[in-house]
Amino acid sequence: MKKRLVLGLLVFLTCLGLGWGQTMPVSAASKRVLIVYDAINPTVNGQKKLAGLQQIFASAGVATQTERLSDYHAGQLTTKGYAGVVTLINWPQGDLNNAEFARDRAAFTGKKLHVGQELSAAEAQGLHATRRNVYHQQLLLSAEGQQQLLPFSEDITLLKTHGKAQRYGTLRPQNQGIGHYPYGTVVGQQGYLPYFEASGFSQVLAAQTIAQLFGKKQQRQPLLTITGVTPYSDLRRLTTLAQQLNAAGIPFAISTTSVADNTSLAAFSRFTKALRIVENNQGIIFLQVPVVGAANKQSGGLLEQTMVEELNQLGQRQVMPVGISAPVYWNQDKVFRQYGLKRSTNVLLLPNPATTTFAYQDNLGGSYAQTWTGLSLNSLLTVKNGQQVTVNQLKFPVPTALTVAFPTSQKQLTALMHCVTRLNVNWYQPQDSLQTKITSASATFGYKHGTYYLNGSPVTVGTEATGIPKYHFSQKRHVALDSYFKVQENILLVFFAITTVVLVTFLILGRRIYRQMFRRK
Amino acid sequence: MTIDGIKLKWLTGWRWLARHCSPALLATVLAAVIAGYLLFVPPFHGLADNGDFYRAQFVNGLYHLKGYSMLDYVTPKLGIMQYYNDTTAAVFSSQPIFVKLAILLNKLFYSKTVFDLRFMGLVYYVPYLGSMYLLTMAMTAPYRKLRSYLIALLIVFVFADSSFTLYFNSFFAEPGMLILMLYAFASLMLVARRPHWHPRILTIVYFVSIMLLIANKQQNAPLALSYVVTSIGLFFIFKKRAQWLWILGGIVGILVTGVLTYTLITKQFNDINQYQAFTHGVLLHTDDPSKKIAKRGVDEQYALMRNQDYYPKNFAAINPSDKSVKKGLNDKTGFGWIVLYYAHHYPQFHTLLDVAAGDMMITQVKAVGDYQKVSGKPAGAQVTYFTGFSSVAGSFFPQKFSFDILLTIALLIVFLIGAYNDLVHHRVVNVVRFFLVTGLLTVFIFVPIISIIGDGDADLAKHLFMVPVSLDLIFITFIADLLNHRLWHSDGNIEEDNT
Repeated sequence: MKKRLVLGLLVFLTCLGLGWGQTMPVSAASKRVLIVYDAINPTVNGQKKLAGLQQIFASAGVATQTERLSDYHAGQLTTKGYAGVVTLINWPQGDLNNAEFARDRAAFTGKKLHVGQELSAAEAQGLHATRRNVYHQQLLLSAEGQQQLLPFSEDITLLKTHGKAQRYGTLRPQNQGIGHYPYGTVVGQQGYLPYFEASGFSQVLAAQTIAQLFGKKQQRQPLLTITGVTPYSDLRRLTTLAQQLNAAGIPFAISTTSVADNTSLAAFSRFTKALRIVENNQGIIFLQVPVVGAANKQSGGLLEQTMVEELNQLGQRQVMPVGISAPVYWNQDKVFRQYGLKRSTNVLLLPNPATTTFAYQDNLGGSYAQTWTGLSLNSLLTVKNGQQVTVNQLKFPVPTALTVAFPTSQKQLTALMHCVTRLNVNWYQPQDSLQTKITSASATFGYKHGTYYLNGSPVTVGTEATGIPKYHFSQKRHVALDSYFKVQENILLVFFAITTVVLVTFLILGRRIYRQMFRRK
Repeated sequence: MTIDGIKLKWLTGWRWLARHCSPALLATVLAAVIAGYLLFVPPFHGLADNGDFYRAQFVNGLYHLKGYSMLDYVTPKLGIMQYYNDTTAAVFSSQPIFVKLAILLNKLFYSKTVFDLRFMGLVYYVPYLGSMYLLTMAMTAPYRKLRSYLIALLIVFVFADSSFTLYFNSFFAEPGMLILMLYAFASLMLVARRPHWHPRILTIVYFVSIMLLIANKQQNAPLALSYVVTSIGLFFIFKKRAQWLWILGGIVGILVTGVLTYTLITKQFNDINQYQAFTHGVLLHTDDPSKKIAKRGVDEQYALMRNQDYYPKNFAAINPSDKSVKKGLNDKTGFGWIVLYYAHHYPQFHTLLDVAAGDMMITQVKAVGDYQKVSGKPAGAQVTYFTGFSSVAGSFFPQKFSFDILLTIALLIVFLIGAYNDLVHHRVVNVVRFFLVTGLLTVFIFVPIISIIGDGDADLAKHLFMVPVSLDLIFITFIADLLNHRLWHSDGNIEEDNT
């Protein structure tokens, strides 16, 4: 009896395990990494930090699951086969704890990364390091001759590592007496980042740390990407920019939204014509997902319809997007992933807008064959923080798109051109190695070694769109009795007008006659 | 029984009825029963949330309980906030007076935590009955003839129509507008027709109603001009200089309310309206607008925004509140730009006005449901109970703006003749009536124009709400005065008539 019970239990557990394997769409590369955060804490831009981490993991090809510390339930880490766990502390003052999580994390044998304050003694021990708390300091982050001043921090825990450790960047407090400490630390299966920000030089070093720890390190040239293009942008400026970049020998990408409606208007032809000029000037196009006004679990069909319509209307006019670009939060939403991002093998994740409207947030970050992390070029260049970063010497460990907002004036355009030509970066050449595929209902858009493919056959992009029926707006629809009604309407108007005049005349005449009757002759 | 006997019985019965039940009382009782059944007998009816209710709810301390339904069903219960409410009014309006009163009554008689929507209905229902009484009295007094009762029935048929009364159980501002308009109209007519029956109080009622009406909703601000016209008649009733000063004060009050309401329109509202006036007006009912707007200095790309809402219902290529849209579109397409655009493209404007003309008599809000979920009706189902007048008017009123203009001219001539005859004979009633009708006719003609220029065809039916109310009042006046022989001369007397 007991044996049978054990056998039954075993079968049950196996089924459960299998079931779990099926419900978790783990990417082929590896299992998920669990990101556990204590709180959002908007005062330190906690939302941005969390999104920044999710973005780096997606680009490193690692699927994630994000969970709040208070939602963590016992045994999750130890029984569910995660590849790793990340602890993100945004609100050390809150002193939020979950004993089960601490216990499970200690027992967990996968990779562990701690980001931010509150590094426990046990964790420090795992890193073979001693902790040192530094208060009220502004730290200078440097690596390989480059440096950036980090924002003022009230309280930061630095590590003194002993023995074999990989270190990324050095933190030096202004107070020289305290010495210097590593920024990113990786010791075996464990890693530590005392501070994280989703932009600037520190993001690059943090990405290196993460990629090293999770074994995803690769060396990639950055892709210059112009973001914020819309059908309403100054299209002449867009084409000028494309031509100037091409003339300067700089390969680039643009991220643009499009419309699903009103595509028969001249304005849409003009928009697609500008995009074809971009394509003909060595520019590739990411179709940016639309702005979300309102969405819910049922919005999938509508999103599918919108995306397919946008892609097909562009494709018909030889505008061939090579990928989909979206704010990071789209990757945390089941509906948006399914109907927006998954159709492409090439996805660009951009920082989140001020408001994020979800359809069905599941916090299961996906990863795609090629996932670019959007990193603002400006955040590397700004001299405000006393930094000297030479972009062409940076080593980007994950596919990184250095983003520049579309210039809003001629002056900005000139400044932008001046800036990118002076940087002298060896930019990523999509024509050399990029290979992508987008599915849009029955159509597929392909890109391989600089050639565009529609449903498998190569497409030539000319100045004018081919294969689009010309719309003749001057041709009016002829309804059988239309002109009759038009004439009749006018006749009625004239009739009423005449009647009114006659009536008024009669009224005046009648009155005169009436008065005449009483007037003494 | 002989025929004479029957006649005698009928006459006695009739006299008894006429003695005990005035036409005004009859109209009020009927309206009370008809509207009362609709609004209070469970499962009661109303109008579902169209997405605008939060403005009236949150500011007044109400919140949505679980299961709150948008668009499809009327939600009968709301929560009353028990904590500090930090939402501030997005708009300046007199509507909170009604909502606050409803919450107060709810707290006194029902619950401190749960709000029953019927208290909202009640707050409108009671003054509404008062306004029906006054209106019928203004239209029938001093007679109690059969035709007086017919007029009373007509008033009930028109103004107890469910398309109007459904509004009571909702957080729309419209019921306030309807009731205040009825009060203003009835009190002015009564001052003219029964100068010895509380003229001062009625004049005050008139001015206060008009001011509250204007302050009820931003879109009413331009109506201040129309109501200045309706007020002119008062100068003919009150002849003393000191009284003129008071009237002048009232008129200035109306203008100030209008200006205040207009200036207190928030920047955000302006942006929304301006944007939709472009996307739901300028870009509509024309072939490709790209080149047309480019010619008038707006980037032709904005043509792609045709039919877009300021708050995208689902997905959009750009957020209309984006800085670049403000700079490229909103900063360029002000009121003047839109007027000039339509001046250069008159046929398009005319088509838009015809759209407005087609919408103006449809008073029932078709976009939202009228039933509660418990009724088992399909989502968004419409009430058909006592909607005879609105459905007939909605389907048969000509959908051409040119017709509206012709009708206006015809009505003006008719009422002008009445006014002229009274002026000649040193009477004032029809002069007052003429200015009143003229004011209402300006509402009839100019509100569609202002709506199209101000917000395109977005929310058109609701923006036009005052148009059917004004026209219905003119219609009732016309019929009532025709029956009472007062259309051409205010001294018409029907006492000698048989019925």
